[in-house]
Amino acid sequence: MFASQTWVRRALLAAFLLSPLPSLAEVAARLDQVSAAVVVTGLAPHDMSSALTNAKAVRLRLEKNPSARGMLISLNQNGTDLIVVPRFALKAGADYELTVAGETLRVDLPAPDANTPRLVSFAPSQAVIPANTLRIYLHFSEPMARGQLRKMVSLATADGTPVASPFLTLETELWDPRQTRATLLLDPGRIKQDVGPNVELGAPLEDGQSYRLAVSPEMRSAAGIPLGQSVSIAFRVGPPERRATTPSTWDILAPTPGSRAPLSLAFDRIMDSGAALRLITLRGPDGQRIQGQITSDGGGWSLIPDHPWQAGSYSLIVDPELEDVAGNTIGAPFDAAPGTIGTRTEPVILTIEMSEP
Amino acid sequence: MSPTKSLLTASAVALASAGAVSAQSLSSAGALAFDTANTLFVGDAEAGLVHAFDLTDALTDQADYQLGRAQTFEGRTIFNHLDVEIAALLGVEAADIAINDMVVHKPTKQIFLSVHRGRGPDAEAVIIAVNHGALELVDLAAADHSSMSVGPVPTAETLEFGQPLNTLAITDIDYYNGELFVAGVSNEEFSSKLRRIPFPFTNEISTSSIEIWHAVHAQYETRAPIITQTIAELDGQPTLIAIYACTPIVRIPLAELTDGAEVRGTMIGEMGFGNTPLDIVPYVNGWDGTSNVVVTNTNRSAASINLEAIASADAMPHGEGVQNVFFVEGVYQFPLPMSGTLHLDTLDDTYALVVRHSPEDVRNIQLHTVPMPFFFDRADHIVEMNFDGSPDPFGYKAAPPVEDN
Repeated sequence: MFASQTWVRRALLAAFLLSPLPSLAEVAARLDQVSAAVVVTGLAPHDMSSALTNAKAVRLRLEKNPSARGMLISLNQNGTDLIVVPRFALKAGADYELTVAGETLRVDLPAPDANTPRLVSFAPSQAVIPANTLRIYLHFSEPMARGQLRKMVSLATADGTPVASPFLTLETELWDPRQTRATLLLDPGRIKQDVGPNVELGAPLEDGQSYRLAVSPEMRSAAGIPLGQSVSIAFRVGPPERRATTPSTWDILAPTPGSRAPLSLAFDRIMDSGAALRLITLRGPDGQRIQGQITSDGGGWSLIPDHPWQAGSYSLIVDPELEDVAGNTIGAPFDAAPGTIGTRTEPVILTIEMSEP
Repeated sequence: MSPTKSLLTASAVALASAGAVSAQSLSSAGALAFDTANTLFVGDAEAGLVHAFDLTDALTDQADYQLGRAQTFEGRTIFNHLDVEIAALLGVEAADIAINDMVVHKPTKQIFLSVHRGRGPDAEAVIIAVNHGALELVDLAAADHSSMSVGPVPTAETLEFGQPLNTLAITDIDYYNGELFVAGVSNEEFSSKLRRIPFPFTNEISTSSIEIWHAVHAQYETRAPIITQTIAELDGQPTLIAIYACTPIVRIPLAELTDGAEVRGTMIGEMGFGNTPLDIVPYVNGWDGTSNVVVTNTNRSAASINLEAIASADAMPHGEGVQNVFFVEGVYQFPLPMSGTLHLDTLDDTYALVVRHSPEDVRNIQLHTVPMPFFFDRADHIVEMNFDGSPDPFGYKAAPPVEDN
């Protein structure tokens, strides 16, 4: 009696474990690449209708996020399929879980196809830069993620001693629209003469010292790929530049008419290379802006025209907002004597004659 | 009319309406402000725009939502792990979002946050509202919308030479008496331009350059971007109170800020070095009726400054023989027990609201109310009266626990 009861129990258990459970086993979720929606197949009709009437019972969440909160979704029915439309595109390479009709289904997205980012250049790139340099640009090969500069970029002297808080800590990082160029502002309070931080901590850069600006290998692109190797930029620091910019002292190398040779300027100091590209323009004898390829490394500026040069009088227009790397403008030095910078400055126009040799 | 022509017209109409209802009117969402009615202003640095959204139909009154118990110096944590919760709503990890600013719509006490989903150039900008302790995505497409250009605008000519790299990071927007005041930091210039824009937008913008004295010696004057600002009446005169990148506090009467003007702000204080201001918010001290501003900082605790003191403050000393200013100087700054603050606004006369690092666990980003005027939440601090068995002179412990609704 006792034995047969056990046998019956075992048989029932085995039947339970082995029996196919069609309504549960077939429920599956997959991402439809075209619509970017999650398609749930195999739902029993009553599960479908209860999902649609009680949308809150359907939850799509990123596995890695510790919150139980589901993301914003809307639900549709397509035949026997439940379509879960996320309000925001699911993140490539991430794993999501979908809870529907008491089941938790995984939706894994393929990893994104993304290049490893590189630091391609920086400015100023001159071997010696002024002690009161205000701005450093870092150019990357890929769009980078915001919000990591403070952690990922550091400055040290040549012997490895870290320079304490050299950069202005702004809430917003300064990037170009594509996020491939970062602007680092050396703390202006430590550059301006006799301001509290400058007196207390000294300028971040000292005349005669050598430095290394290091970018961490962990710095990530917008697609989440790290640089992979640390990059270190070495430079030496010279005397501070505290004079207003004077375009009349620039050397101009004018090409001969008929050629497409570059028109080149050599600055008397290191100018802001980003601003130089935008704020120095050339107009032809007819007053039209000359189109061509403009380059600047901060030490100079050159323009290779799309069409050969014509003989005549050209105007090089220097916007008053152009700054050198230390923030000095045409109107005034960065640290100006009282009463000298409150005056409006017009663009400086240099005339360049191009004539046959 | 030929059939071809009418077809063209129809498609043009379709395109126009698709543009008008586009949910992606925001390229980015940074600084926030409300006017005195229901218009939310959003700084969009990527597009170089300030947007205005009429949220009249989206606002929900929060008067019945309990904010804490000011009598016993108790605030309310509306959210723990605010970043994680918003990220969950948007389907990403906390590391993939940025909470850029926070503002309270004063008439309804409803809280709004500007958030980026993603950290790349294609990050999606959204506005999140808090409705009785729940997070909601604001449907901006349903709101009446207008916008005004403030940043470097690529002209047809500049575009010919490639997409420019310069941007203006909008650091603050303030509304005062029918006008917006927009401060920002350029990534290629170190300027001190303040933009003043009438609202409703008329396509007019006036830009003033404000020079300031160095705090010490005053042998130099300088340019620097304004980071945060507010407008208050000082002796009946509307005045801009601005804090610059290396923390001088400057006072400028609005009447001086005309288009193209070169203005010298009166520097009346120094917030101290190695520090960047975050927010400056006016408030009235309910205990003594005085008008003040509270300033939050990246590397220092917050400070309160009395408006009468700002009005009457002398310019910082300058000239031969003046000693260096290393620390907090000038107009009196009352230190407040508030640090780790990321964003600040006031909810009403009694409570301020912060997004902050929890004092107990800095990894926990909280949305939390703080009783004014001391910006002091008893639970945040180790004070004797919180201990079991300790004296309870003010009867705080006798008070029943706060039951949040």
